[in-house]
Amino acid sequence: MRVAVIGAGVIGLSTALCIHEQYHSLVPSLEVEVYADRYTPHTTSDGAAGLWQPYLSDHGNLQETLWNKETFDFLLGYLGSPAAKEMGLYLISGYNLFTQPVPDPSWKNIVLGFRNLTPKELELFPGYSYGWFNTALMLECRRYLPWLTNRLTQRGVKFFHKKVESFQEVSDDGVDVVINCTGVRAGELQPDPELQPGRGQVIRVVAPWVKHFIITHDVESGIYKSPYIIPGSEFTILGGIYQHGNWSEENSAQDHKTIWENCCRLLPALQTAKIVEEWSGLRPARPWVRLERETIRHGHIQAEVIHNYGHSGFGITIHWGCAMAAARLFGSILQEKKLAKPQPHL
Amino acid sequence: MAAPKVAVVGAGVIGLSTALCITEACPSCSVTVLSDQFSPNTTSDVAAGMLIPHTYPGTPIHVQKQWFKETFTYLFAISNSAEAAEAGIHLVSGWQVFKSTPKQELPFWSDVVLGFRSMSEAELQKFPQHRFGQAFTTLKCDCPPYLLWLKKRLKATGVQMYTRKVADLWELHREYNVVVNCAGIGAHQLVGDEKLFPVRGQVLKVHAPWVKNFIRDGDGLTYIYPGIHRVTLGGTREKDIWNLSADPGTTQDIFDRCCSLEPSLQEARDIKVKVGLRPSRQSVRLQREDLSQGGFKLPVVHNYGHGAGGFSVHRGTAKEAARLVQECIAALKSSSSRAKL
Repeated sequence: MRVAVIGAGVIGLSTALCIHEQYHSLVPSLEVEVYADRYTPHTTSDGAAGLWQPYLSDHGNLQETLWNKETFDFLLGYLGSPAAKEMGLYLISGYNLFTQPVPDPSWKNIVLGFRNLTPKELELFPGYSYGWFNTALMLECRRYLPWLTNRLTQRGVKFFHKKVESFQEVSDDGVDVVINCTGVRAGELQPDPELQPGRGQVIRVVAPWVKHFIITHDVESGIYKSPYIIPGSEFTILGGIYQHGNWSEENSAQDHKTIWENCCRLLPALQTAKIVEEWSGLRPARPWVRLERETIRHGHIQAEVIHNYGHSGFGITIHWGCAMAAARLFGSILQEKKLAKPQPHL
Repeated sequence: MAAPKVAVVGAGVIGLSTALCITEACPSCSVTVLSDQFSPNTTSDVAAGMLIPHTYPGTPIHVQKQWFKETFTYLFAISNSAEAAEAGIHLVSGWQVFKSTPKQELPFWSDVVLGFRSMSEAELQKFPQHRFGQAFTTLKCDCPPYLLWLKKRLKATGVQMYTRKVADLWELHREYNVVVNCAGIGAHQLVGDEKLFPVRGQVLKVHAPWVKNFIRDGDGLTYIYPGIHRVTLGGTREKDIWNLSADPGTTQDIFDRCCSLEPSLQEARDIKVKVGLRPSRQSVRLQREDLSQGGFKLPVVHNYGHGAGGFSVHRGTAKEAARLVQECIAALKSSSSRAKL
């Protein structure tokens, strides 16, 4: 039973690991392979700061809220373990700021210590009159992806540096199940008008005195169009760009100016921070995550595809819940092929 | 009197902040700082500089609260300004956890720090040995940056600073009109204060930049305070011990206690060990004393004995000391004008 995972960002690698962990002992012939043209540190996941935080509203999409919670709880379990540092995982507290009162988010009981900001705290952020404080998690992909890669390598999963041009290419080669974790470029394998790039740009600076994340919101403009500051373990990430439909991965001087001026206004001490890196990436934006099975037929060859893409700007936040869901879909494929007995849902 | 000459003895956080307050309260004063040690070799440099007050049994609570509030407000403004990084002042959030519920659940300073509340059950799960906790956001003054920043502000106002071991305050009576004693633990010898005693503290300063929250055991003995570049792990409270050498057994013990609060610290690197003697006293000695010998007078303002809480109240006590200096100067002026009659 050959399984090909296409894509080696946080979604591809975690899905590969989840499937291998759950099924390798049940299916002795299971072979998992990862195909990608970009590996860490060149994936979209690597550019993200890594803060666990869903969007403000789940638009009634309870499934996604559950996946977010599963991910948070999964990561929380690793916090006290020796692996945490290697994974790039740690607790972080911080602020979400608004110019007007907003309803509490779907994730208020998932994070730790969620509360509204006091008037004195709001004095820190002129121009913002309402906000939240909570403790969440950071999962830095520049560490997490190598950690996942190590775990996969230990399990005998093979990696191929290759751009897959079609599902057919892989199924012709004898792969039984394809896991499509191709993120923003999923449209190249199968057209998907719902999937659009949500271009972002970030500046990484040296500002080790910043210990909190600060995310501002402009409810009218939309998510990530308002400045944010997220302290990583090495550098602090400044951002606040979201351009729907923009495929450019080149850094823009205008966006740099926007980020820099807005973030320095938010935290004046940043003016003295040294800039070390600038990066642009494309969030794989979709109204909802595409996580479903599809049977692809080409001539007499049939392949099962599990789609797991379109995680917008919350891929890290939701990744494990989706990986588990993809693994369950894989389990149902195995059942159909009578390769495994029904398993209790994990 | 021409520009009154004020000497401040001591260049830790108390000495430097007091000197600064004097220049602010009395712009015509000529202020000089004299100390045998300057940053990075003061007691202040060892401290984490967390704004979490220590309670002085001999000082009224409302006074301590006022000192803390003034200090917090002052530093809050700096943390919010462009100078925050240079001054080493930053906000930090975290938890104070207790193995058994404390008698007093609301400390006197709970409404001065930000967002003070009890920890939720979910938050306490991270601390299986602890049953109760408080979450809040406070400020941290990193040293040496804060002391260097104070020195810079002082130099900008023309304050001179000299390395000099003052053996006796009286030796300054010819050169200065008023002397301010901010000698910290040095006051034990300098003015023979038997009520002042060291409480030895050993700490580790480690590289663990993923630690963004503070954790403190309510017993005050075990704490993890993330600074700008290093995390301070503590500690010890050894009464009447004057030993400034690091003890390796203590180092291991501190490390183990901190790792049990925050397991990821096992991965901490580049461990530096420091020792400081908290200049402890039942109450902060913040008062005037007029010394006189053979017809000469030397007004002294004492500002020492801040123990474990120096950073938390430094600005409040410095302002009070500056006010006392002004009183001394006023008294000198009126007595000298009386002498002219």
